[in-house]
Amino acid sequence: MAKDPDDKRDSGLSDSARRSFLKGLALTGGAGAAMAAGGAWGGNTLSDTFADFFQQHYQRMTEDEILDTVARIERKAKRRYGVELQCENTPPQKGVVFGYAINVSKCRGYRDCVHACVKENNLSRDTQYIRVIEMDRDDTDLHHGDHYYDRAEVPADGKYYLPMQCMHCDNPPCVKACPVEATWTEPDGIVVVDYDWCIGCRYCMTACPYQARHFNWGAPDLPPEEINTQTHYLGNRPRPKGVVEKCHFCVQRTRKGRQPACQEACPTGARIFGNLLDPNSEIRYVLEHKAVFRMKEDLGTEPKFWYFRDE
Amino acid sequence: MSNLACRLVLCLLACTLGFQSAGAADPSAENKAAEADVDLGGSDDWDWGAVSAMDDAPVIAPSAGAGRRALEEYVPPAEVENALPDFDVPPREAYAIFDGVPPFEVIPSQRDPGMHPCSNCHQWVKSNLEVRDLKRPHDRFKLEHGLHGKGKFWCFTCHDLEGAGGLKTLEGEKLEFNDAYLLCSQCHSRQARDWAYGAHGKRVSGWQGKRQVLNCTACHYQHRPAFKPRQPKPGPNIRMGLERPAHWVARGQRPSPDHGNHESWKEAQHELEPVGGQDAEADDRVIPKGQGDGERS
Repeated sequence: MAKDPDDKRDSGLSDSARRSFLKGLALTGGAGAAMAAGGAWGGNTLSDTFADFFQQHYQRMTEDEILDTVARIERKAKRRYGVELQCENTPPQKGVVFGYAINVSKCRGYRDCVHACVKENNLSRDTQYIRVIEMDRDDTDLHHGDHYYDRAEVPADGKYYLPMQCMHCDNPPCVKACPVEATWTEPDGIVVVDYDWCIGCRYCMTACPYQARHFNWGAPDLPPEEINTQTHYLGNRPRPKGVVEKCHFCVQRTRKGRQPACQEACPTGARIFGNLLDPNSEIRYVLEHKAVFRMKEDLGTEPKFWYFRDE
Repeated sequence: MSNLACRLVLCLLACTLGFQSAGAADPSAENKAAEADVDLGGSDDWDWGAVSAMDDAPVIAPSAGAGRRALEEYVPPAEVENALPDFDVPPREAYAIFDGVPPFEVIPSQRDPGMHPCSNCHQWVKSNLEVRDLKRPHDRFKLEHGLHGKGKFWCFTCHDLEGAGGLKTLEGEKLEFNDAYLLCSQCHSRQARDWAYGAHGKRVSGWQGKRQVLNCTACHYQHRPAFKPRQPKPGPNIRMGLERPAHWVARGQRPSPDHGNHESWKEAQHELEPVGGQDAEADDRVIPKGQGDGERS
């Protein structure tokens, strides 16, 4: 979110006092780091460790603080993985609310989207945001579905495939469950997580009826040569251990007008992404002309993620 | 030395923790910050006073809470950063047979548009117009297109062998290979309609900016348009404790003991038990027939 520099929201102490205090800390820390042995701060410098500790909530940071934070994330990635990362803070576009539609008749269960997502979003190689559920024909009970399916060939006879990921609900139960407001809805409708503010309590995972959220039990297992260096603060930057993460509609791509990685990877064109406020967009055509349904609609979560089929 | 550094750090941490909690203790400042954070646009026109005044009617609050956003008309930005590749294809203003199709560009085929291998020979050799099983050198064009049109559907339904070669419609209009969608839409009108408006096919490059879509033949091989089944990429790891037993049956397909399936259900259970190998020990656990369900006899 773009921050107005005048829009300083102090929490008790004046900002300048706080900043000079932090600066003093950083200087002391730099001296300390020079003296201490290399790995004493988990591969971090003392000043960065302190700055991490006092980092504000993303929505409360000023523009300068965000730039500092983003630069620190890039430094940390350089130290940890040895890659030149570019961490951005692209604000949402005005007049855009993202929506997604999936053509269930076209999905053939190849899982290309799943793996494109893993690569694009720097996921730990044991985590997948998208789950493709193999369902029996004439059956809509998700309990009967199987997302571990492993076959010689898909689609299998008598099955259909239902990809599920974060639905970016307009009334998100995960946001309500978070005790520290580390997750919220952005103006373009993307439900994001501030990974540095998350305390890892996993209440949101329990609250989510779509099991869309994933927890980093360990530090992400990321081969450095496969890291995607185009990252966003709220999106695919490397995550710390012990925080919750989930699909963010590829915020690093979609805010610049590109398609999300799963849409780009889909070999059958089952995925349709676009701006819900644009009457000429593909997604609006689908919503207006197809029989669409949403997952677990009775819960009132208002997902911005629709399913439809060819008539 | 490191001991000293640790003490220094602990001391600093302690004093700054106090500093943080003092800051967070002021609830009015927090509330102010929270209010200012919700900036979803268009929140002014929602009159909460009027809503709470309607006591008799059940009130359903809007889903996004106080920051409900108005559905404003979307004006795409003049410049989009997404650096779309330029294919040098004139955008079609409209797809004539459908109303109000947003302008689009069809991504051209990667092949050389001037290369028509049919005409390499058939400008010298007369074509055999008879419908037959294709032998060499034509066997690679095995036609598996058209479930209903088998036998009636032939090379010259779509190909034009006069002149330089290329495509022709049923009415005889000549088409370039890059205009194949016009040819396909003669029969597949429903798909063509969805494709034109964006519900079929695929928009590449971006959701914003120039609308660049794939041609039919980018995804469907024209002589065998159905997608081939293939092996899926690997699925998620099975979490510890959730591994499936060897004779796993999906929950919906398990025989239920309440529906008169006692015999088969017991057999299924016996099948599950000998996991380590079927030796004497495993056989001992099999309940002799008639003993387990004595109450039924």
